[in-house]
Amino acid sequence: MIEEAAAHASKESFFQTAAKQARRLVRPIKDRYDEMILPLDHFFGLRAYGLVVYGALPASLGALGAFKPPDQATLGSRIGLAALPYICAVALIPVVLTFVLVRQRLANWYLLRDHLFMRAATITLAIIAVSSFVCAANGLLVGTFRLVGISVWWASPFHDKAWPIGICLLLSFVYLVGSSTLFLTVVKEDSDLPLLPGKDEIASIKSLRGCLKGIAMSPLQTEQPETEGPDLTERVTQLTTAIEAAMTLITNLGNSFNRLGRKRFYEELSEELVDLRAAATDVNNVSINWSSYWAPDVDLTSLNEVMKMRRARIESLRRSSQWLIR
Amino acid sequence: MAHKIVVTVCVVALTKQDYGELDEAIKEKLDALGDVYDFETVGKPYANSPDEWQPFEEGTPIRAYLDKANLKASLVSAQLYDPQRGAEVLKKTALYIIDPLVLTHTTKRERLAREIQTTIYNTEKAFCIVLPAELPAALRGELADVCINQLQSLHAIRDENDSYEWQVETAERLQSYLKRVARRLGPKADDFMLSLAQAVFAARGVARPDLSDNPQLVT
Repeated sequence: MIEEAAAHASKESFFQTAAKQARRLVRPIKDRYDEMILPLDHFFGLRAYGLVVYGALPASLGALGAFKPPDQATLGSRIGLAALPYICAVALIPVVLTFVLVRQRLANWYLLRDHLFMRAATITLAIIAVSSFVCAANGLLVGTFRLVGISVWWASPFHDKAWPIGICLLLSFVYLVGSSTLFLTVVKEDSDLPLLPGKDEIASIKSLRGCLKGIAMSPLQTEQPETEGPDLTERVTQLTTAIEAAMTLITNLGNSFNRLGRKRFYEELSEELVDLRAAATDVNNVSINWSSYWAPDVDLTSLNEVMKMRRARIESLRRSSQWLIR
Repeated sequence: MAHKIVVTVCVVALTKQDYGELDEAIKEKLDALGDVYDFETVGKPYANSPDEWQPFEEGTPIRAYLDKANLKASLVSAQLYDPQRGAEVLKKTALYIIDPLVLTHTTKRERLAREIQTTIYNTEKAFCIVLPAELPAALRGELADVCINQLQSLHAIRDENDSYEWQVETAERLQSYLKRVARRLGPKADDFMLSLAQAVFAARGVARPDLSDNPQLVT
């Protein structure tokens, strides 16, 4: 019995050791992945790519016959180069509407607005590209288009090359009206839809945004205190309370929603807040140190390394959260 | 983890940029030391900020010693020579860490020998002078003499208070000095609570509470 228990314990410890070793090996790879994926998520909105599926859904439904497809024969007969500006003007409306809706969703799903335009534009373009692809596939299936080799396609006249592309693009724009309606009805409010960020995460992000707004609006960050005293202590207390609340939310977000390098993002934000809190405490002790952290005209070379780092992180935090107080 | 003691510290040390303002005689002596005193290189022993001064061979900046000694230091050295905030720095500082080579600087020596010395003398602020044992004996002797001549008031009171340290030669001594300062500045026993506790013990028949016997739980 004892031998069995000992064998079990040694087995357990073997597996535990193996798991630890594996984690140790995987750790640098994961860190590197987080380092790479985080900027990609912020630039291209990776966490919101479910929107592409929802956005291209009308084109897919149209291809399946759920919608009546637009009259392509009419389009084909009437469209000439002269009509292009008018077509562009008309087609732009669903594109812009889709872009605006995507932007609105993304503004909610990301804590900060850095690269928001870029993210929204990328996802809108991705929706158009996927819709066009679905339209092209449908055209091939129903015989509107014909699949040819690259050399044949290359040798064909410009009109023959441009026409299918133009038609597919136009159809995808038309389907965007449907997708926009879908966005309005389905994605109008944040909900626990598959492929999209969950309600809990978005609610936590919203609360965190509120905390960051409170921190950004703190008078300690804009007005130099005259001297130490109850007023300064109150300001510091308000700021540190907001920081504590933000840190709690960050811990929850970092633990529960940590994919696509988000854990790293929250760690960095947490470091910035820790430094802000340290600076506030320092100023509470010696008010003349306010200029070392917040004054624009300070000689940076005279500051010690800790102060320099705190100042840099405070500036970074202020830059990121400035839009919250506009 | 022990609660850190909050203290305002001013490091009165040279920086990398101060080489040109030193006395010529001292410059020559420092140059002769080779790369021990290289004002071009950060940490040999100076940097852009006095707080980054690394007086000993182990290469630890002064602010790190403060941290190790359980002191949560608010460093105000950057404002010391600021005409608008300089007076406030003198008022707020509780501990001065002094580099004797400042006394060979053409402009900074005045500040140390006059205002800082007067402030420490009159308001009993803690201070220590760091004179590393690694320096050649002749130079150390010369700097010690400069200190005695220019910081006469501090020299006179150097033994009056254990928060004064006239010459700190090693990192260990600096560390123990800072720990002493931390204890001195740390929380003191609350007289009211002490008398209350004594009254409670007295009511239970314990005139002088001590730990000479095994502790006993009483109901």
